[in-house]
Amino acid sequence: MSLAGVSAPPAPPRSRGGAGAHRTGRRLPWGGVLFLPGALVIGSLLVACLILFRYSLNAWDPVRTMVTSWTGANYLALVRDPVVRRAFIETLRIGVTVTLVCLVLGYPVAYGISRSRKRALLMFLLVAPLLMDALLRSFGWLVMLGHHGLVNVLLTGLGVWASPKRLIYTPLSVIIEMIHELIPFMVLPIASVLERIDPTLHEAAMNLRAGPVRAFWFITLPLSLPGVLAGTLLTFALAMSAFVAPLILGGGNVLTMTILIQQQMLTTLNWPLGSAESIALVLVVLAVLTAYGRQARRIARGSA
Amino acid sequence: MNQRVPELRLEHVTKRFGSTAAVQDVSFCLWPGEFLSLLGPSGCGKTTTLRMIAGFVVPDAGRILCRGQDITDEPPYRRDVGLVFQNYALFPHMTVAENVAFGLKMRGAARSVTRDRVQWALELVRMPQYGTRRPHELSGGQQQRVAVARVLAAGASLLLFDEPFSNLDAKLRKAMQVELRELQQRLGIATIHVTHDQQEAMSMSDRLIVMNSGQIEQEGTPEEIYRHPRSAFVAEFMGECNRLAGRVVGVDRARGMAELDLDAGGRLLAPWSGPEDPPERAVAFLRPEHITIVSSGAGGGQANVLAGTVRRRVYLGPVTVLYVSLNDDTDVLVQCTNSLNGASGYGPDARVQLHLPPPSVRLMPL
Amino acid sequence: MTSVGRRLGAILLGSYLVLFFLYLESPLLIIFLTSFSRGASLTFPPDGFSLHWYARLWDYVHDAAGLQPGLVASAWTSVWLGASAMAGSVVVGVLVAFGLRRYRFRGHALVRQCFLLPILFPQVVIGVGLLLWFSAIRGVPSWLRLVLGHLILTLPYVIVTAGASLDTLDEKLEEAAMNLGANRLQTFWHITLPSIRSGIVSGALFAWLISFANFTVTFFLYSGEMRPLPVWIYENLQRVIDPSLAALSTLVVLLTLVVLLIMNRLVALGRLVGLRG
Repeated sequence: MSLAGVSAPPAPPRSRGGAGAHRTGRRLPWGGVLFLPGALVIGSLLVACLILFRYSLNAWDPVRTMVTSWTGANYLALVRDPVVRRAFIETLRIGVTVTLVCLVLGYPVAYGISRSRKRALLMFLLVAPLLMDALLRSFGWLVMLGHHGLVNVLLTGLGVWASPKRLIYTPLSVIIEMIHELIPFMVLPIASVLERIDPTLHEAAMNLRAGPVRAFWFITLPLSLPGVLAGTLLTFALAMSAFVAPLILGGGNVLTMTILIQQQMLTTLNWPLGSAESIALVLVVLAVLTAYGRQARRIARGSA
Repeated sequence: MNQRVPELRLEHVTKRFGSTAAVQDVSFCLWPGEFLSLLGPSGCGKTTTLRMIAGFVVPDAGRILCRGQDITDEPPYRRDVGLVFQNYALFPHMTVAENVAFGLKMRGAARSVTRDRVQWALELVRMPQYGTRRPHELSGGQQQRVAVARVLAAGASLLLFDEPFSNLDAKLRKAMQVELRELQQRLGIATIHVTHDQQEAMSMSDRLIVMNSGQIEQEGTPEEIYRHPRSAFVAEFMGECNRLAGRVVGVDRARGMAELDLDAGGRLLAPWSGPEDPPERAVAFLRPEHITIVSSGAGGGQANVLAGTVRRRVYLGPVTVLYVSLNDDTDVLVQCTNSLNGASGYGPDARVQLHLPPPSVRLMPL
Repeated sequence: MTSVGRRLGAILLGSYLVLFFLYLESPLLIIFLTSFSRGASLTFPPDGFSLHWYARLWDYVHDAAGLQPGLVASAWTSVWLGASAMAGSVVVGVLVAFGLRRYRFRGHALVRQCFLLPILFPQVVIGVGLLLWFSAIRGVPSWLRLVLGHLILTLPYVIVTAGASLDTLDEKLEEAAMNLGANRLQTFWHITLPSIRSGIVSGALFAWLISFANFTVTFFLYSGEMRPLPVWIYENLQRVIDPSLAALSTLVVLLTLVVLLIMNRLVALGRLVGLRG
């Protein structure tokens, strides 16, 4: 999965009244050349999206596959088709569950990281798994959740379960994997907000006779809510577009939007419907990400 | 003097950032060999002026001429002005010698020429043995010397100093001021120095330009500006200053004097040479060291002698400063030189008579 | 609360952190343990210790029975693909990062957001979008599809790392160079680039890792003759899972870890994600 820039602030304020701006502002037409190669790369992503949009207006025929046309039928199908609706609800259900669990499990981690003296090490441990091949992580969970895997061995050994349960290829295993995959995205924004809270505020509260618990409840927690919101939005957006976990750990039994898109595109070859689903997914994810971006900028400005 | 071509000439230079004018209609000349200070509080436009001369900021209006040539639109790298930055801006990934050689390298100078010139420049700043060091291994004063050597080696025809001493501690600052000034005089290289420290500006400069909110307030030698400030701003910026407000009650054109009825009580004669009459309300400015204590005890009534009570006494080594309260609780600062048999022995609550000699008073409209 | 209570809280928090990080690294640890197992089944705890799955891996290098053929070719494809994406995104990304810092213009923030968009954009959509585009224009060789796909993915990371370095670069250094007669190009070459070298190198490693580890976009763009390692692993996961796959994964994880450690030395990972670390 992805990581950097997650909570990187937009751009630092220029030193001294925007020295860079007026110095060269009028040479921008030439400066634009610097962006040209980058614009080509990002532009190709936009072209790909435009093609998806165009295809989403085409009609589909089981024999002739895609038929050029201008129709909104595919978008109607998004709402009416029971399979699509099921996939959408499943995606939402998984996304919400994953996000909530990440929040509950991740907040103390963020708190611990922001208070720790070994922050650099913990940051490394937090971020490193993100840069590992997503497939290997899923493979690891496949092994751990297997019939004779760690989880079953532990839980039957402790007497929680009478006999090993089937965990892989269920929505539960997908959720478990995704929590693991996305929890750093919850922790990072919260930790970066917690880290900026002036520790003297907590001390001042204690000085005013608030115990550590109440000082946390009345001071630290409210001040960290902007980070909680940012982390929640980010985690949810990424959960909506997760692909590897449902593919590997779902094993065909878990139908999310991304899996549905993959099936339409590669198996049934219903490109128009698959395109419409892609566009819908992009719109939902971008909407959540826009809210996240606004929140992240507010945090960076320190006015959250 | 005006027959000579100035090293640098600014003509009606203006620069706006958004809606605020950072520099407004500024014109001045820099003469060959001269050390000129641009002095003013932060935000007065002095740094923007310097950056326009160096070419990092392009003026919205006006011209900048270097030895008669218009350089207003030249990019920074085609100007022979050497800028010494406040933080010195030494390139951290290069040695001292590489830093000093950088300008020559950019000009494609021959290797042997570069070597000689780097050596020459480092010797000028008394650091010939430091060529292989890295900037972070040097002290602040040494870094500053390297920064100077760097612009000299590059062949700058005039120097710009941007608050160059603000990162040094007080003692080193004094030493570097003397050293740089001597070097500048030895080379006879025209220099503009930007600072907010009036002591520093006065001790180093041939001439000062005091700036305030983007405009030139006054221009002149340190003494002229200190003795004859033309505005309240200059008077107060250049050092401690007493201000006494009052009503103008009479003008003696023959003697060039105006008489002021002070709000704090008492009468004050002050020079007035303006073509018009002074306004009805005016302020008298007076330096603490120009006031003398004529006698203790009560009395008074005659012009330019005010009665007051010593409220506080601050001993500063060479001088003692007395805070004297006048009748309406206005504080007047009086500075007395401490001679060996210390005459300034007035303690708190002592009643004193202050003499304010007319020539030292500057009268300005309120 | 008493100091005992406070210490208890600290211990609780500390233990929770330890447990959390154990959990976070557990899939990789399990793969590591499994790769040394003696038996062929993936059980816990592994039955005995042996290195013979690594020996088996050696057989697969020679396309012996068991897994799909083409392990070596896949590994090379991945390395090569990563290198291409890295080279491309470093050149393009440094220019963009430089431009973004150098010029302020209307819509600056929006342009920056656009360049960083692929980090959070649904990768499935990037994959299918490019897939449909390439099938519409035909004749695009599969290496070009993969390189372009990966370039889109890796570019933002270089922009972020190079940008982070540029932000710490003192503008006065560039001004000093220009004051000494260096034109814009010379200033960029002699001052700016050397000053952000660590940011560029870490951005390059970042780009290589992202490309090397990417499955989703690759999955939609690969072809029979260009099958990067993650796709090869995926195809084998669909078949028989035996510990030799864990042995291979362990090697991949170790390689990744080495690159990550180098990166972390250059620019602390935490700084890139907005923490002071």
